[in-house]
Amino acid sequence: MKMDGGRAMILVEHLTHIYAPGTPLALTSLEDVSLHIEEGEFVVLAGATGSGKSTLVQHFNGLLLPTAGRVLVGGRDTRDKKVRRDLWRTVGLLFQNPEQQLFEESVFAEVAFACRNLGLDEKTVEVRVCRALEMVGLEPDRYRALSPFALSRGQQRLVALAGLLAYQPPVLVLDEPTSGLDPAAREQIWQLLKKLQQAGHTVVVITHHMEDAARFAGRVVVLHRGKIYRQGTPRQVFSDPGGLRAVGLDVPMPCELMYCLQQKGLPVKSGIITLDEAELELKNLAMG
Amino acid sequence: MQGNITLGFYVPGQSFIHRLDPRTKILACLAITMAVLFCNHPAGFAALSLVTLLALGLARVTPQLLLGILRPFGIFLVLALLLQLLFTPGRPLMMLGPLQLTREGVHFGFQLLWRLVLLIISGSLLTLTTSPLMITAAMEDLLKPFRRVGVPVFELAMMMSIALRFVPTLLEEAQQIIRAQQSRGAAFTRGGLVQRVQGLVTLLVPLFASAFRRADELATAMEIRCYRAGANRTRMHQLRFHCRDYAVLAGTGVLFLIVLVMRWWG
Repeated sequence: MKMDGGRAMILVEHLTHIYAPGTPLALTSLEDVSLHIEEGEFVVLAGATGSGKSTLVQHFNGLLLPTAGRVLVGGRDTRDKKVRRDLWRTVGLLFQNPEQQLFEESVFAEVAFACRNLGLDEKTVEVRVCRALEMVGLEPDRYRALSPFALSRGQQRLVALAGLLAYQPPVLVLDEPTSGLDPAAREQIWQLLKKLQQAGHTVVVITHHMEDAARFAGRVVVLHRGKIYRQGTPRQVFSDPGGLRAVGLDVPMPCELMYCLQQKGLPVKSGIITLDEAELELKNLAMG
Repeated sequence: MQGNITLGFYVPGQSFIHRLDPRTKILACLAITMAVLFCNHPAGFAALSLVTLLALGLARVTPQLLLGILRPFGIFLVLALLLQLLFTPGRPLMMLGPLQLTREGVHFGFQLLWRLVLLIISGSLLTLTTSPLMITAAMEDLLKPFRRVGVPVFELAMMMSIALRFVPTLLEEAQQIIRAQQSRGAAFTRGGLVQRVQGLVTLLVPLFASAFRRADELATAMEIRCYRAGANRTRMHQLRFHCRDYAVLAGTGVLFLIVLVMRWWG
Protein backbone atom coordinates (compact mmCIF):
# COMPACT_ATOMS: atom_id res chain seq x y z
CA MET A 1 0.00 0.00 0.00
CA LYS A 2 1.50 3.29 -1.08
CA MET A 3 0.28 5.46 1.70
CA ASP A 4 3.38 7.47 2.40
CA GLY A 5 4.83 10.02 0.08
CA GLY A 6 1.97 9.92 -2.43
CA ARG A 7 -0.56 12.71 -2.57
CA ALA A 8 -4.28 12.16 -2.44
CA MET A 9 -5.49 11.97 -6.02
CA ILE A 10 -9.06 11.32 -5.03
CA LEU A 11 -10.35 12.28 -1.63
CA VAL A 12 -13.85 11.29 -0.60
CA GLU A 13 -15.13 12.77 2.63
CA HIS A 14 -18.34 11.62 4.31
CA LEU A 15 -19.99 11.09 0.95
CA THR A 16 -23.69 10.31 0.97
CA HIS A 17 -25.63 9.89 -2.23
CA ILE A 18 -29.39 9.54 -2.48
CA TYR A 19 -31.09 8.92 -5.81
CA ALA A 20 -34.35 10.82 -6.38
CA PRO A 21 -34.51 12.31 -2.89
CA GLY A 22 -38.00 13.20 -1.70
CA THR A 23 -39.86 10.84 -4.04
CA PRO A 24 -41.26 7.37 -3.33
CA LEU A 25 -38.30 6.03 -5.29
CA ALA A 26 -35.68 7.65 -3.07
CA LEU A 27 -32.76 5.30 -2.63
CA THR A 28 -29.73 5.81 -0.44
CA SER A 29 -26.91 4.42 -2.52
CA LEU A 30 -23.94 5.62 -0.48
CA GLU A 31 -23.88 6.52 3.18
CA ASP A 32 -21.06 8.40 4.85
CA VAL A 33 -18.27 6.95 2.74
CA SER A 34 -14.76 8.27 3.30
CA LEU A 35 -11.91 7.12 1.13
CA HIS A 36 -8.69 8.42 -0.23
CA ILE A 37 -6.81 7.18 -3.22
CA GLU A 38 -3.17 8.14 -3.63
CA GLU A 39 -1.55 9.03 -6.90
CA GLY A 40 -0.18 5.88 -8.56
CA GLU A 41 -2.24 3.46 -6.51
CA PHE A 42 -3.95 0.35 -7.85
CA VAL A 43 -7.27 0.06 -6.05
CA VAL A 44 -9.90 -2.61 -6.53
CA LEU A 45 -13.46 -1.82 -5.52
CA ALA A 46 -15.50 -4.89 -4.67
CA GLY A 47 -18.98 -5.51 -3.37
CA ALA A 48 -22.20 -7.28 -4.21
CA THR A 49 -24.61 -5.90 -6.79
CA GLY A 50 -26.24 -2.74 -5.48
CA SER A 51 -23.52 -2.04 -2.94
CA GLY A 52 -22.86 1.38 -4.48
CA LYS A 53 -19.63 0.78 -6.39
CA SER A 54 -20.80 2.27 -9.65
CA THR A 55 -22.39 5.20 -7.87
CA LEU A 56 -19.13 5.86 -6.05
CA VAL A 57 -16.94 5.91 -9.16
CA GLN A 58 -19.33 8.25 -10.94
CA HIS A 59 -18.52 10.78 -8.25
CA PHE A 60 -14.85 10.61 -9.22
CA ASN A 61 -15.40 12.35 -12.54
CA GLY A 62 -18.27 14.57 -11.51
CA LEU A 63 -21.10 12.76 -13.26
CA LEU A 64 -22.82 12.49 -9.91
CA LEU A 65 -22.57 15.05 -7.16
CA PRO A 66 -22.69 14.30 -3.44
CA THR A 67 -26.01 14.65 -1.66
CA ALA A 68 -23.86 15.30 1.40
CA GLY A 69 -20.12 15.33 1.97
CA ARG A 70 -17.60 16.14 -0.72
CA VAL A 71 -15.25 14.68 -3.28
CA LEU A 72 -11.91 16.24 -4.14
CA VAL A 73 -9.99 15.26 -7.25
CA GLY A 74 -6.44 16.53 -7.31
CA GLY A 75 -7.43 18.83 -4.46
CA ARG A 76 -10.33 20.41 -6.31
CA ASP A 77 -13.97 20.05 -5.29
CA THR A 78 -16.10 18.31 -7.92
CA ARG A 79 -19.07 20.54 -7.11
CA ASP A 80 -17.22 23.49 -8.63
CA LYS A 81 -18.75 23.89 -12.08
CA LYS A 82 -15.52 24.83 -13.81
CA VAL A 83 -13.70 21.88 -12.27
CA ARG A 84 -16.51 19.53 -13.14
CA ARG A 85 -16.50 20.38 -16.81
CA ASP A 86 -12.88 19.39 -17.26
CA LEU A 87 -12.81 16.53 -14.80
CA TRP A 88 -13.04 13.95 -17.57
CA ARG A 89 -9.55 14.98 -18.67
CA THR A 90 -8.15 13.92 -15.31
CA VAL A 91 -10.37 10.97 -14.48
CA GLY A 92 -11.08 8.62 -17.37
CA LEU A 93 -14.12 6.52 -16.57
CA LEU A 94 -15.01 3.40 -18.52
CA PHE A 95 -18.57 2.36 -17.79
CA GLN A 96 -19.88 -1.12 -17.37
CA ASN A 97 -20.65 -2.55 -20.81
CA PRO A 98 -18.91 0.29 -22.62
CA GLU A 99 -19.73 -1.30 -25.97
CA GLN A 100 -23.06 0.51 -25.57
CA GLN A 101 -21.38 3.85 -26.15
CA LEU A 102 -19.95 3.12 -29.61
CA PHE A 103 -21.30 5.34 -32.37
CA GLU A 104 -18.61 6.18 -34.91
CA GLU A 105 -18.30 4.77 -38.40
CA SER A 106 -14.84 3.31 -37.91
CA VAL A 107 -12.82 1.85 -35.09
CA PHE A 108 -10.24 4.56 -35.61
CA ALA A 109 -12.72 7.41 -35.24
CA GLU A 110 -14.24 5.71 -32.22
CA VAL A 111 -10.93 5.43 -30.41
CA ALA A 112 -9.99 8.95 -31.47
CA PHE A 113 -13.19 10.52 -30.13
CA ALA A 114 -11.90 11.54 -26.71
CA CYS A 115 -8.50 12.56 -28.11
CA ARG A 116 -10.20 14.90 -30.53
CA ASN A 117 -12.33 16.30 -27.73
CA LEU A 118 -9.07 17.07 -25.95
CA GLY A 119 -8.17 19.18 -28.95
CA LEU A 120 -5.06 17.25 -29.99
CA ASP A 121 -3.74 17.65 -33.52
CA GLU A 122 -4.40 14.84 -35.99
CA LYS A 123 -0.82 13.62 -36.01
CA THR A 124 -0.77 13.06 -32.27
CA VAL A 125 -4.23 11.50 -32.45
CA GLU A 126 -3.00 9.05 -35.09
CA VAL A 127 -0.02 8.00 -32.98
CA ARG A 128 -2.04 7.67 -29.80
CA VAL A 129 -4.90 5.74 -31.37
CA CYS A 130 -2.56 3.23 -32.97
CA ARG A 131 -0.67 2.77 -29.73
CA ALA A 132 -3.90 2.31 -27.78
CA LEU A 133 -5.21 -0.26 -30.25
CA GLU A 134 -1.95 -2.16 -29.98
CA MET A 135 -2.15 -2.04 -26.19
CA VAL A 136 -5.53 -3.77 -26.16
CA GLY A 137 -4.35 -6.29 -28.74
CA LEU A 138 -6.23 -5.09 -31.82
CA GLU A 139 -3.88 -4.66 -34.78
CA PRO A 140 -4.34 -1.08 -35.94
CA ASP A 141 -3.96 -1.83 -39.63
CA ARG A 142 -6.47 -4.61 -39.57
CA TYR A 143 -9.14 -2.97 -37.45
CA ARG A 144 -8.94 0.78 -37.93
CA ALA A 145 -11.24 1.02 -40.93
CA LEU A 146 -13.83 -1.52 -39.74
CA SER A 147 -17.17 -0.44 -38.35
CA PRO A 148 -17.25 -0.98 -34.60
CA PHE A 149 -20.71 -2.52 -35.01
CA ALA A 150 -19.23 -5.30 -37.14
CA LEU A 151 -17.03 -6.51 -34.30
CA SER A 152 -17.85 -9.10 -31.68
CA ARG A 153 -18.95 -7.88 -28.27
CA GLY A 154 -15.58 -8.66 -26.74
CA GLN A 155 -13.79 -6.71 -29.44
CA GLN A 156 -16.20 -3.80 -29.03
CA ARG A 157 -15.26 -3.78 -25.37
CA LEU A 158 -11.60 -3.57 -26.30
CA VAL A 159 -12.31 -0.71 -28.70
CA ALA A 160 -14.05 1.21 -25.93
CA LEU A 161 -11.11 0.53 -23.63
CA ALA A 162 -8.68 1.72 -26.30
CA GLY A 163 -10.69 4.93 -26.56
CA LEU A 164 -10.04 5.52 -22.88
CA LEU A 165 -6.35 4.65 -23.03
CA ALA A 166 -5.76 6.79 -26.11
CA TYR A 167 -6.44 10.07 -24.35
CA GLN A 168 -4.24 9.07 -21.42
CA PRO A 169 -6.06 10.45 -18.39
CA PRO A 170 -3.88 10.31 -15.25
CA VAL A 171 -6.59 8.42 -13.38
CA LEU A 172 -8.17 5.35 -14.97
CA VAL A 173 -11.44 4.16 -13.49
CA LEU A 174 -12.91 0.99 -14.96
CA ASP A 175 -16.28 -0.48 -14.05
CA GLU A 176 -16.06 -4.24 -14.54
CA PRO A 177 -13.79 -4.06 -17.58
CA THR A 178 -13.38 -7.81 -17.88
CA SER A 179 -16.95 -9.08 -17.48
CA GLY A 180 -17.91 -11.22 -20.44
CA LEU A 181 -14.37 -11.49 -21.80
CA ASP A 182 -12.53 -14.76 -22.31
CA PRO A 183 -9.74 -15.64 -19.83
CA ALA A 184 -6.96 -14.64 -22.22
CA ALA A 185 -8.40 -11.19 -22.85
CA ARG A 186 -9.10 -10.81 -19.14
CA GLU A 187 -5.51 -11.59 -18.21
CA GLN A 188 -4.30 -9.24 -20.92
CA ILE A 189 -6.37 -6.36 -19.56
CA TRP A 190 -5.18 -6.87 -15.99
CA GLN A 191 -1.55 -7.01 -17.13
CA LEU A 192 -2.11 -3.88 -19.16
CA LEU A 193 -3.61 -2.04 -16.20
CA LYS A 194 -0.68 -3.08 -14.03
CA LYS A 195 1.72 -1.76 -16.65
CA LEU A 196 -0.17 1.52 -16.81
CA GLN A 197 -0.01 1.82 -13.04
CA GLN A 198 3.73 1.26 -13.14
CA ALA A 199 3.93 4.00 -15.76
CA GLY A 200 2.41 6.39 -13.23
CA HIS A 201 -1.34 6.14 -13.72
CA THR A 202 -3.70 5.82 -10.81
CA VAL A 203 -5.93 2.82 -11.45
CA VAL A 204 -9.31 2.07 -9.88
CA VAL A 205 -11.08 -1.10 -10.98
CA ILE A 206 -14.47 -2.50 -10.03
CA THR A 207 -14.49 -6.26 -10.31
CA HIS A 208 -16.04 -9.46 -9.01
CA HIS A 209 -12.94 -11.52 -9.85
CA MET A 210 -11.30 -11.79 -6.48
CA GLU A 211 -8.42 -13.88 -7.80
CA ASP A 212 -7.44 -11.05 -10.12
CA ALA A 213 -7.96 -8.51 -7.36
CA ALA A 214 -5.62 -10.48 -5.11
CA ARG A 215 -2.91 -10.60 -7.75
CA PHE A 216 -2.99 -7.05 -9.01
CA ALA A 217 -4.48 -4.70 -6.45
CA GLY A 218 -2.40 -2.72 -3.99
CA ARG A 219 -5.49 -2.12 -1.99
CA VAL A 220 -8.95 -3.68 -1.94
CA VAL A 221 -11.97 -1.70 -0.81
CA VAL A 222 -15.11 -3.69 -0.06
CA LEU A 223 -18.45 -1.91 -0.13
CA HIS A 224 -21.55 -3.30 1.48
CA ARG A 225 -24.94 -1.59 1.27
CA GLY A 226 -23.45 1.81 0.56
CA LYS A 227 -20.82 1.71 3.28
CA ILE A 228 -17.18 0.71 3.33
CA TYR A 229 -17.18 -2.74 4.87
CA ARG A 230 -13.45 -3.32 4.85
CA GLN A 231 -10.31 -2.04 3.16
CA GLY A 232 -6.63 -2.85 3.10
CA THR A 233 -4.11 -4.94 1.22
CA PRO A 234 -5.51 -8.07 -0.44
CA ARG A 235 -3.89 -10.11 2.33
CA GLN A 236 -5.69 -8.19 5.03
CA VAL A 237 -9.04 -8.14 3.30
CA PHE A 238 -9.05 -11.79 2.28
CA SER A 239 -8.02 -13.02 5.72
CA ASP A 240 -11.68 -13.39 6.69
CA PRO A 241 -13.51 -15.49 4.07
CA GLY A 242 -16.58 -15.88 6.27
CA GLY A 243 -17.13 -12.14 6.62
CA LEU A 244 -16.66 -11.54 2.92
CA ARG A 245 -19.07 -14.28 1.99
CA ALA A 246 -21.63 -12.71 4.30
CA VAL A 247 -21.55 -9.54 2.18
CA GLY A 248 -21.89 -11.48 -1.06
CA LEU A 249 -18.27 -11.81 -2.16
CA ASP A 250 -15.98 -14.73 -2.86
CA VAL A 251 -12.41 -15.02 -1.73
CA PRO A 252 -9.65 -16.25 -4.03
CA MET A 253 -9.50 -20.03 -4.26
CA PRO A 254 -6.04 -20.46 -2.65
CA CYS A 255 -7.15 -18.27 0.23
CA GLU A 256 -10.31 -20.33 0.67
CA LEU A 257 -8.30 -23.56 0.58
CA MET A 258 -5.89 -22.42 3.27
CA TYR A 259 -8.76 -21.20 5.40
CA CYS A 260 -10.49 -24.59 5.17
CA LEU A 261 -7.26 -26.40 6.07
CA GLN A 262 -6.86 -24.13 9.04
CA GLN A 263 -10.40 -24.87 10.16
CA LYS A 264 -9.51 -28.58 10.07
CA GLY A 265 -6.66 -27.83 12.46
CA LEU A 266 -3.78 -28.16 10.03
CA PRO A 267 -0.76 -25.91 10.63
CA VAL A 268 -0.83 -23.65 7.56
CA LYS A 269 -0.07 -19.95 7.42
CA SER A 270 -2.88 -17.51 6.95
CA GLY A 271 -2.70 -14.61 4.55
CA ILE A 272 -2.02 -16.71 1.49
CA ILE A 273 -3.62 -15.33 -1.62
CA THR A 274 -1.84 -16.63 -4.73
CA LEU A 275 -1.62 -20.11 -6.18
CA ASP A 276 2.17 -20.15 -5.95
CA GLU A 277 2.11 -19.36 -2.26
CA ALA A 278 -0.53 -22.00 -1.70
CA GLU A 279 1.54 -24.60 -3.56
CA LEU A 280 4.57 -23.85 -1.46
CA GLU A 281 2.55 -24.05 1.72
CA LEU A 282 1.03 -27.39 0.71
CA LYS A 283 4.49 -28.75 -0.06
CA ASN A 284 5.68 -27.67 3.36
CA LEU A 285 2.67 -29.32 4.89
CA ALA A 286 3.30 -32.58 3.01
CA MET A 287 6.95 -32.62 4.05
CA GLY A 288 5.71 -32.30 7.62
CA MET B 1 -32.34 3.80 -12.11
CA GLN B 2 -32.06 7.53 -11.66
CA GLY B 3 -35.54 7.58 -10.22
CA ASN B 4 -36.69 10.41 -12.42
CA ILE B 5 -40.44 10.48 -12.50
CA THR B 6 -41.47 10.56 -16.10
CA LEU B 7 -44.55 10.00 -18.18
CA GLY B 8 -45.56 6.38 -18.06
CA PHE B 9 -43.69 5.64 -14.87
CA TYR B 10 -45.27 3.08 -12.56
CA VAL B 11 -44.78 3.42 -8.82
CA PRO B 12 -45.91 0.26 -7.02
CA GLY B 13 -48.08 0.81 -3.98
CA GLN B 14 -51.12 -0.24 -2.00
CA SER B 15 -53.25 2.90 -2.06
CA PHE B 16 -56.97 2.96 -2.81
CA ILE B 17 -56.30 3.98 -6.39
CA HIS B 18 -53.68 1.26 -6.78
CA ARG B 19 -56.17 -1.39 -5.73
CA LEU B 20 -58.89 -0.31 -8.15
CA ASP B 21 -59.55 -2.59 -11.09
CA PRO B 22 -57.48 -1.35 -14.04
CA ARG B 23 -60.61 -1.26 -16.20
CA THR B 24 -62.21 1.09 -13.69
CA LYS B 25 -59.18 3.34 -13.82
CA ILE B 26 -59.11 3.42 -17.61
CA LEU B 27 -62.82 4.20 -17.85
CA ALA B 28 -62.65 6.81 -15.10
CA CYS B 29 -59.61 8.37 -16.71
CA LEU B 30 -61.45 8.44 -20.03
CA ALA B 31 -64.54 10.00 -18.46
CA ILE B 32 -62.51 12.69 -16.72
CA THR B 33 -60.53 13.40 -19.87
CA MET B 34 -63.73 13.88 -21.87
CA ALA B 35 -65.26 15.95 -19.11
CA VAL B 36 -62.18 18.18 -18.99
CA LEU B 37 -62.37 18.68 -22.76
CA PHE B 38 -66.10 19.41 -22.79
CA CYS B 39 -66.15 21.55 -19.70
CA ASN B 40 -66.64 25.29 -20.18
CA HIS B 41 -68.15 26.30 -16.89
CA PRO B 42 -66.16 27.45 -13.82
CA ALA B 43 -68.24 25.22 -11.55
CA GLY B 44 -67.41 22.23 -13.75
CA PHE B 45 -63.73 23.04 -13.55
CA ALA B 46 -63.98 23.37 -9.80
CA ALA B 47 -65.67 19.98 -9.54
CA LEU B 48 -63.12 18.32 -11.82
CA SER B 49 -60.24 19.89 -9.92
CA LEU B 50 -61.68 18.64 -6.65
CA VAL B 51 -62.04 15.13 -8.01
CA THR B 52 -58.49 15.19 -9.35
CA LEU B 53 -57.22 16.46 -6.02
CA LEU B 54 -59.13 13.73 -4.23
CA ALA B 55 -57.64 11.10 -6.56
CA LEU B 56 -54.14 12.48 -5.98
CA GLY B 57 -54.71 12.22 -2.26
CA LEU B 58 -56.11 8.71 -2.47
CA ALA B 59 -53.13 7.64 -4.59
CA ARG B 60 -50.78 9.12 -1.94
CA VAL B 61 -49.05 11.36 -4.45
CA THR B 62 -46.77 13.80 -2.64
CA PRO B 63 -46.43 17.42 -3.81
CA GLN B 64 -42.83 16.72 -4.90
CA LEU B 65 -43.95 13.81 -7.01
CA LEU B 66 -46.70 15.95 -8.53
CA LEU B 67 -44.12 18.59 -9.45
CA GLY B 68 -41.93 15.87 -10.90
CA ILE B 69 -44.80 14.76 -13.10
CA LEU B 70 -45.57 18.26 -14.36
CA ARG B 71 -42.01 19.51 -14.78
CA PRO B 72 -41.27 17.83 -18.13
CA PHE B 73 -44.35 19.57 -19.57
CA GLY B 74 -43.30 22.96 -18.20
CA ILE B 75 -42.13 24.56 -21.43
CA PHE B 76 -45.08 23.22 -23.36
CA LEU B 77 -47.55 24.53 -20.79
CA VAL B 78 -45.99 27.98 -20.62
CA LEU B 79 -45.87 28.18 -24.41
CA ALA B 80 -49.54 27.20 -24.71
CA LEU B 81 -50.47 29.83 -22.16
CA LEU B 82 -48.40 32.57 -23.81
CA LEU B 83 -49.77 31.88 -27.29
CA GLN B 84 -53.33 32.09 -26.01
CA LEU B 85 -52.60 35.19 -23.94
CA LEU B 86 -50.99 37.16 -26.72
CA PHE B 87 -52.78 36.07 -29.87
CA THR B 88 -56.44 35.97 -28.91
CA PRO B 89 -58.37 38.88 -30.39
CA GLY B 90 -60.84 40.69 -28.15
CA ARG B 91 -61.17 43.50 -25.68
CA PRO B 92 -57.67 44.75 -24.87
CA LEU B 93 -56.46 44.83 -21.26
CA MET B 94 -52.99 46.22 -21.87
CA MET B 95 -50.45 46.61 -24.63
CA LEU B 96 -47.12 44.80 -24.67
CA GLY B 97 -45.26 46.43 -27.53
CA PRO B 98 -46.88 45.27 -30.74
CA LEU B 99 -48.86 42.60 -28.88
CA GLN B 100 -51.90 43.10 -26.78
CA LEU B 101 -53.21 41.26 -23.82
CA THR B 102 -56.95 40.73 -24.13
CA ARG B 103 -59.63 39.74 -21.67
CA GLU B 104 -60.51 36.77 -23.83
CA GLY B 105 -56.86 35.85 -24.09
CA VAL B 106 -56.49 35.69 -20.33
CA HIS B 107 -59.69 33.69 -20.06
CA PHE B 108 -58.84 31.15 -22.75
CA GLY B 109 -55.17 31.00 -21.80
CA PHE B 110 -55.79 30.00 -18.22
CA GLN B 111 -58.64 27.72 -19.19
CA LEU B 112 -56.33 25.90 -21.59
CA LEU B 113 -53.55 25.75 -19.03
CA TRP B 114 -55.88 24.29 -16.42
CA ARG B 115 -57.27 21.78 -18.90
CA LEU B 116 -53.82 20.58 -19.84
CA VAL B 117 -52.73 20.28 -16.22
CA LEU B 118 -55.83 18.23 -15.38
CA LEU B 119 -55.30 16.01 -18.41
CA ILE B 120 -51.65 15.40 -17.55
CA ILE B 121 -52.48 14.61 -13.95
CA SER B 122 -55.32 12.23 -14.71
CA GLY B 123 -53.28 10.42 -17.37
CA SER B 124 -50.26 10.21 -15.10
CA LEU B 125 -52.38 8.91 -12.24
CA LEU B 126 -53.40 6.01 -14.42
CA THR B 127 -49.87 4.99 -15.38
CA LEU B 128 -48.46 5.86 -11.97
CA THR B 129 -50.76 3.48 -10.14
CA THR B 130 -51.26 0.73 -12.72
CA SER B 131 -48.56 -1.57 -13.97
CA PRO B 132 -48.22 -1.72 -17.76
CA LEU B 133 -49.22 -5.36 -17.59
CA MET B 134 -52.52 -4.49 -15.91
CA ILE B 135 -53.20 -1.67 -18.35
CA THR B 136 -52.79 -4.05 -21.25
CA ALA B 137 -55.00 -6.65 -19.66
CA ALA B 138 -57.68 -4.05 -19.07
CA MET B 139 -57.43 -2.65 -22.59
CA GLU B 140 -57.71 -6.12 -24.01
CA ASP B 141 -60.80 -6.76 -21.94
CA LEU B 142 -62.44 -3.44 -22.73
CA LEU B 143 -61.79 -3.70 -26.45
CA LYS B 144 -62.95 -7.29 -26.73
CA PRO B 145 -66.30 -6.36 -28.33
CA PHE B 146 -64.46 -4.74 -31.23
CA ARG B 147 -62.87 -8.02 -32.22
CA ARG B 148 -66.12 -8.92 -33.94
CA VAL B 149 -65.55 -6.14 -36.45
CA GLY B 150 -61.99 -7.20 -37.15
CA VAL B 151 -59.98 -4.98 -34.83
CA PRO B 152 -56.75 -6.83 -33.90
CA VAL B 153 -57.28 -6.24 -30.21
CA PHE B 154 -54.63 -8.59 -28.87
CA GLU B 155 -51.95 -7.30 -31.20
CA LEU B 156 -52.78 -3.69 -30.32
CA ALA B 157 -52.73 -4.44 -26.63
CA MET B 158 -49.42 -6.24 -26.93
CA MET B 159 -47.88 -3.40 -28.93
CA MET B 160 -49.07 -0.91 -26.38
CA SER B 161 -47.76 -2.84 -23.44
CA ILE B 162 -44.37 -3.27 -25.10
CA ALA B 163 -44.19 0.44 -25.84
CA LEU B 164 -45.14 1.31 -22.25
CA ARG B 165 -42.74 -1.25 -20.92
CA PHE B 166 -39.77 0.15 -22.82
CA VAL B 167 -40.25 3.87 -22.22
CA PRO B 168 -38.46 3.83 -18.85
CA THR B 169 -35.86 1.37 -20.12
CA LEU B 170 -34.93 3.56 -23.05
CA LEU B 171 -34.87 6.70 -20.92
CA GLU B 172 -32.56 5.02 -18.47
CA GLU B 173 -30.35 3.82 -21.26
CA ALA B 174 -30.24 7.27 -22.82
CA GLN B 175 -29.10 8.67 -19.50
CA GLN B 176 -26.43 6.03 -19.23
CA ILE B 177 -25.15 6.74 -22.73
CA ILE B 178 -25.13 10.49 -22.12
CA ARG B 179 -22.96 9.92 -19.08
CA ALA B 180 -20.63 7.58 -20.92
CA GLN B 181 -20.16 10.14 -23.68
CA GLN B 182 -19.71 12.98 -21.21
CA SER B 183 -16.95 10.90 -19.66
CA ARG B 184 -15.24 11.04 -23.04
CA GLY B 185 -15.66 14.78 -23.33
CA ALA B 186 -18.79 14.96 -25.51
CA ALA B 187 -20.70 18.23 -25.20
CA PHE B 188 -24.45 18.04 -24.77
CA THR B 189 -25.26 21.24 -22.98
CA ARG B 190 -22.53 23.62 -24.04
CA GLY B 191 -20.76 24.83 -27.15
CA GLY B 192 -22.26 25.99 -30.42
CA LEU B 193 -25.03 24.44 -32.45
CA VAL B 194 -22.66 22.17 -34.39
CA GLN B 195 -21.16 20.81 -31.20
CA ARG B 196 -24.56 20.15 -29.70
CA VAL B 197 -25.80 18.36 -32.79
CA GLN B 198 -22.65 16.25 -32.72
CA GLY B 199 -23.38 15.54 -29.09
CA LEU B 200 -26.85 14.36 -30.06
CA VAL B 201 -25.39 12.00 -32.66
CA THR B 202 -23.23 10.38 -30.00
CA LEU B 203 -26.44 9.68 -28.08
CA LEU B 204 -28.83 8.70 -30.85
CA VAL B 205 -26.66 6.20 -32.72
CA PRO B 206 -25.99 3.98 -29.71
CA LEU B 207 -29.58 4.38 -28.52
CA PHE B 208 -31.01 3.22 -31.84
CA ALA B 209 -28.49 0.43 -32.11
CA SER B 210 -29.53 -0.88 -28.73
CA ALA B 211 -33.27 -0.38 -29.38
CA PHE B 212 -33.01 -2.53 -32.50
CA ARG B 213 -30.98 -5.12 -30.65
CA ARG B 214 -33.58 -5.18 -27.90
CA ALA B 215 -36.44 -5.51 -30.36
CA ASP B 216 -34.65 -8.40 -31.99
CA GLU B 217 -34.02 -10.15 -28.71
CA LEU B 218 -37.58 -9.59 -27.57
CA ALA B 219 -38.97 -11.04 -30.80
CA THR B 220 -36.76 -14.09 -30.42
CA ALA B 221 -37.77 -14.53 -26.79
CA MET B 222 -41.45 -14.35 -27.78
CA GLU B 223 -41.02 -16.86 -30.60
CA ILE B 224 -39.19 -19.25 -28.31
CA ARG B 225 -42.17 -19.13 -25.97
CA CYS B 226 -44.47 -19.77 -28.95
CA TYR B 227 -46.26 -16.46 -28.52
CA ARG B 228 -49.35 -16.09 -30.66
CA ALA B 229 -51.62 -13.11 -30.37
CA GLY B 230 -55.06 -14.00 -29.11
CA ALA B 231 -54.42 -17.66 -28.48
CA ASN B 232 -57.01 -17.42 -25.71
CA ARG B 233 -54.61 -17.73 -22.87
CA THR B 234 -55.98 -17.65 -19.35
CA ARG B 235 -54.65 -15.16 -16.84
CA MET B 236 -53.05 -15.67 -13.50
CA HIS B 237 -54.91 -12.70 -12.03
CA GLN B 238 -58.47 -12.52 -13.28
CA LEU B 239 -59.87 -9.00 -13.42
CA ARG B 240 -62.81 -8.55 -11.09
CA PHE B 241 -64.92 -5.52 -10.21
CA HIS B 242 -65.42 -4.75 -6.51
CA CYS B 243 -67.73 -2.36 -4.69
CA ARG B 244 -65.12 0.39 -4.82
CA ASP B 245 -64.97 0.02 -8.59
CA TYR B 246 -68.72 0.48 -8.98
CA ALA B 247 -68.58 3.48 -6.67
CA VAL B 248 -65.76 5.13 -8.63
CA LEU B 249 -67.42 4.37 -11.97
CA ALA B 250 -70.74 5.78 -10.79
CA GLY B 251 -69.03 8.86 -9.37
CA THR B 252 -67.06 9.72 -12.48
CA GLY B 253 -70.05 8.85 -14.68
CA VAL B 254 -72.26 11.29 -12.83
CA LEU B 255 -69.56 13.96 -12.97
CA PHE B 256 -69.24 13.45 -16.72
CA LEU B 257 -72.99 13.78 -17.21
CA ILE B 258 -73.16 16.92 -15.09
CA VAL B 259 -70.42 18.53 -17.16
CA LEU B 260 -72.26 17.58 -20.36
CA VAL B 261 -75.52 18.97 -19.03
CA MET B 262 -73.82 22.21 -18.01
CA ARG B 263 -72.33 22.57 -21.48
CA TRP B 264 -75.54 22.15 -23.41
CA TRP B 265 -78.15 23.45 -21.06
CA GLY B 266 -76.18 25.55 -18.58
